[in-house]
Amino acid sequence: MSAFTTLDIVGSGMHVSRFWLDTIAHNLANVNTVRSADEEPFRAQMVVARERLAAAGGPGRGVEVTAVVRQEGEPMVVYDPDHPNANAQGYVTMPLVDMAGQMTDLIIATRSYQMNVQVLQDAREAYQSALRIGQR
Amino acid sequence: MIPPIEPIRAASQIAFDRVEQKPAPGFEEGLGNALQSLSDAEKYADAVATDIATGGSSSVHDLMIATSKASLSLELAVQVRNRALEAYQEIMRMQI
Repeated sequence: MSAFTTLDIVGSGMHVSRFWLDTIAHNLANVNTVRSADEEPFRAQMVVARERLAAAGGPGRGVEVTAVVRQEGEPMVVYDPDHPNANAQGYVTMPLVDMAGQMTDLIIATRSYQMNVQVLQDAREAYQSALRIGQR
Repeated sequence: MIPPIEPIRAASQIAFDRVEQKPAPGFEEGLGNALQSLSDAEKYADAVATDIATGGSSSVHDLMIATSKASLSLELAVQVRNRALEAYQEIMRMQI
């Protein structure tokens, strides 16, 4: 619907923030996911977002998630022969999750969700005050 | 080379672009559209609520946005109706 476009734009921002929160939750849930050294380790998911463009001259249409990429880097290989996931040589790979970074991202994602909620409330109030124009 | 001056043509040969004027949508049509969009918004909000209640993929904010839109649409429709009614009553009160 075209009358209340701000709500759609805010909704897209909330969707991306929630998506981000979900990936952070997934990464933190897997912070202890140890795999065999022969396997690919758990790599933290990262969200790629892109602005949604509108027709020329108009305001943008919000934001959208375009991809989920995995964290690059060399995993830490630990010698732990008693671990059930250890390979024949007794090694396991630790997950590639930067916990401090994830916690920082968690704060940013939470705040960005709250920010979008605030914009939603303000937009709602603005629309309501527009509907009060000329009221007796 | 400069082209020679052409003789003046008869007016009938000049094609005027006729501007097609579409009549502006009437009040009735506008109100009908507003009511239709109100109905759509409420239906959508209903669908999202059902989706959440049955464990679908919609999120909470989808529902809140849909219900906000529905309630704003309702307020808009009510305001339009109020104005129309006011105008009508104003005319009915007119002394002749």
